[in-house]
Amino acid sequence: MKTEHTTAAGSLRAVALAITVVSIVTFVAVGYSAYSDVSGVISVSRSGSSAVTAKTVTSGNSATLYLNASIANGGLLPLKVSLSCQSQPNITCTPGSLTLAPGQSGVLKFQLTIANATQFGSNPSSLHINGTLIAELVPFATLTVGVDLGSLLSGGGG
Amino acid sequence: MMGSKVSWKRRVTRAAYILVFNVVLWIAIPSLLGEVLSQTLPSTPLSSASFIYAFGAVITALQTLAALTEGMAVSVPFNSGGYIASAYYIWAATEGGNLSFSTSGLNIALGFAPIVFLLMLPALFGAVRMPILFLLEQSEVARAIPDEI
Repeated sequence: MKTEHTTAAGSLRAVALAITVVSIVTFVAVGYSAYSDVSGVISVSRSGSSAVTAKTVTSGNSATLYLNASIANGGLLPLKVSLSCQSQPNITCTPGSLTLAPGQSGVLKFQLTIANATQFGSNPSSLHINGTLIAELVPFATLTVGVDLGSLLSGGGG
Repeated sequence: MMGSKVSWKRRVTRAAYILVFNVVLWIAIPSLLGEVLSQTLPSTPLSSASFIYAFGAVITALQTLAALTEGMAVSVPFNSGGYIASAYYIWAATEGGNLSFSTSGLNIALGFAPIVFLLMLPALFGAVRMPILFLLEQSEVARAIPDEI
């Protein structure tokens, strides 16, 4: 009888310990992955290398923005990055999506075409395109950033 | 531990330790976090002192009472209540793992519901573990008493 109780109490204690250990390991993995991915992006942007290239090509009335971003996943968890934009009249958006396993690197390609770009020629700052950048540490955390892609076009790329 | 004799000296000493630990864990640390986060995340519940003090007081009181009544049946609801309150506190403080804010013209949303669930899991398990342990001990005591004929 005493053994029964001791075994049950011991099992419950073991489960509690296992939950705590799994939680700690997960927090460390997520924290380290987030830190290494963010510090990787910061170091690339500080070094001034061409990790992110934005090119605007005009042909006739239309203008196309090509955005390529080299991303490296230095963390312990898979990294999923996607860039998309809201569809509007005269604007065609080809969303880019990339899933990187730990230690892998890849290029996120995004394309945006404006059919009647000449109407913004005199005032490029009036162009507002709602873009959404999603970075996901699969499956634990998601970062969603809303950006104005029009500013990239009006800024002439970079 | 439930059915065994526990001295009042042990209860008071444990309660004092638990009081200090809980005040630091549920009031002092969240207050510091709230001060840091209030600049970027003004909508977070942690930026409200009344939220921190109210939940901190409830959790600390329940855990301290559980320590003071150690070995008695009444410590079970205090313990479970403390664990449930701390799980809810974590969920409410993190807004269920969905935080959004605006900075430098950017709208940023953070989603970390699985991490919040992992943070809540030990507390929720503790809330279930205490009554189970109590029931196991009670059944053991009941079995040990011989039938009166």
